[in-house]
Amino acid sequence: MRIASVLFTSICMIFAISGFGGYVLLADDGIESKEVFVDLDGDGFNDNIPDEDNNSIPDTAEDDKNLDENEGLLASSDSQFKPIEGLGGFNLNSLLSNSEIFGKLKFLTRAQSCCRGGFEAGSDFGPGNGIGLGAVSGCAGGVCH
Amino acid sequence: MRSLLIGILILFFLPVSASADFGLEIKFSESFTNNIISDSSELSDSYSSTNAVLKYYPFPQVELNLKSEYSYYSELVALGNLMSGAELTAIPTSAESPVVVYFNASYENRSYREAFSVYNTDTYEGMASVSYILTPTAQVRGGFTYENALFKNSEEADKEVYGVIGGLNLTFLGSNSLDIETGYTFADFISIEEEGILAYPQVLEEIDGDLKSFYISPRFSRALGRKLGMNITYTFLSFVDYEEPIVYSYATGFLSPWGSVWDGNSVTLNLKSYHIPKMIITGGFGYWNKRMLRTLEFPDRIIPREDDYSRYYLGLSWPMPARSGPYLEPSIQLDIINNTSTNRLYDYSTFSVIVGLTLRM
Repeated sequence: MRIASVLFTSICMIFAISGFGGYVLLADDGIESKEVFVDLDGDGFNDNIPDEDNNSIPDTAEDDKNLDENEGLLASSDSQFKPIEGLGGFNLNSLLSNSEIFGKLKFLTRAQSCCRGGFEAGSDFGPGNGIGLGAVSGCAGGVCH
Repeated sequence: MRSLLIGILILFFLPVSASADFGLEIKFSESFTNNIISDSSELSDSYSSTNAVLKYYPFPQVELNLKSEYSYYSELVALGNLMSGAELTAIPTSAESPVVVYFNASYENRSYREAFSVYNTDTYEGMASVSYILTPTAQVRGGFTYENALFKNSEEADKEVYGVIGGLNLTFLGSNSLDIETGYTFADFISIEEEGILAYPQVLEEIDGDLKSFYISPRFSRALGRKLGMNITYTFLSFVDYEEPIVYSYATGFLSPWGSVWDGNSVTLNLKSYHIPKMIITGGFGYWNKRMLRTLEFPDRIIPREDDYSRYYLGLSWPMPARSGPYLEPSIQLDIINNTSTNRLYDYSTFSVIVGLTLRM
């Protein structure tokens, strides 16, 4: 339990250094985001931040994309985006494949499609990269230890 | 229950709509560990694993997987095994709805070489859950879980587990997230009556075991800057009306059907970093205090076991999506495990390294 105490103290120190109070995640260079912070998967990052290139890295954490966004804001500061008119009842989902729509739906279930307890609690501890299914991840041969 | 799961799987194999599409995911991994059995014998081994999943989407709300995995161990060759299975996931609600309904059913068969064939298993699992968005920053969820593990050549290790879960996720003070999950689990299994073990002559009388477990697990997560995220999770897990059942033990704790059944406390810390461009770095530490079930070591020794288990890991992944063409993700992972136990057989430490490649098409 001593290790746990050290861990807890370390966490408290991290909070003390970084400031416990919330700041808006997307706040950067004076540009504040109106995105609501939600973290259902527990990785500490806002799930609502887009990931345009689908590389599992939020766009705000990628320097080259932030640069592009800022340049874009300067270039189009005197223009406005307006919703496209005349779409009527057109369903944008009809342009997507079944797997793409399912991917969107699956994203909504990231908190409810797994659980942390039961008789194999802790067996999912690890990087979550999907390659650690052998002995060291705590599970092998379909049995966790 | 098993028939129901199989029926649902077959039902969704049949229809093929015009917009149905397929996906394929293949994972290769190569690993080395200095303690393959996870006990004081400290046998080192290297092993490789290949995993393939064929995904089929007959409807936008349904995913059907056919999966297979083969693991090869270079020293302990008999531990090599082949897994094959199928999985169905259905999400019948729309993306705009505040209510999300989730169903999952799966079947998995795992077969070992002759020397370890006692561990051959058929596993059936199911889950149904529903979540509801209360406010933009608060969501509640609840659900049921089911698992039936059947050991083909060792029926006394079979177990059937039912669970109910509930949870709440909310955001407070800007970008701090709290997720509280709780659950209650029931397990049916076969235990051995203690009086018969100690009697002379010994009579091993198998009785229906009944194990109940309650857990509560708060998790706090937040970002520490633009490129670093963390969570800290505490889990309290306790057997309910615990009558200290005795179960059959197996020579290798590594594969024991009871190795994963415990009560106690755990605390874990996970970090995720995007500081290296285009790469994902993960690291973590976890500590578990576990009380395991009592096991029978022949001829008549009844062994209680309590472990202090700690684990550290570091992972590095490089996702490489392509606008058209395959998705590639090479990964490397380092693990260190330390375990101290009241049973000296399980005093051990382990160091492991895994390299892997994920390919999606």
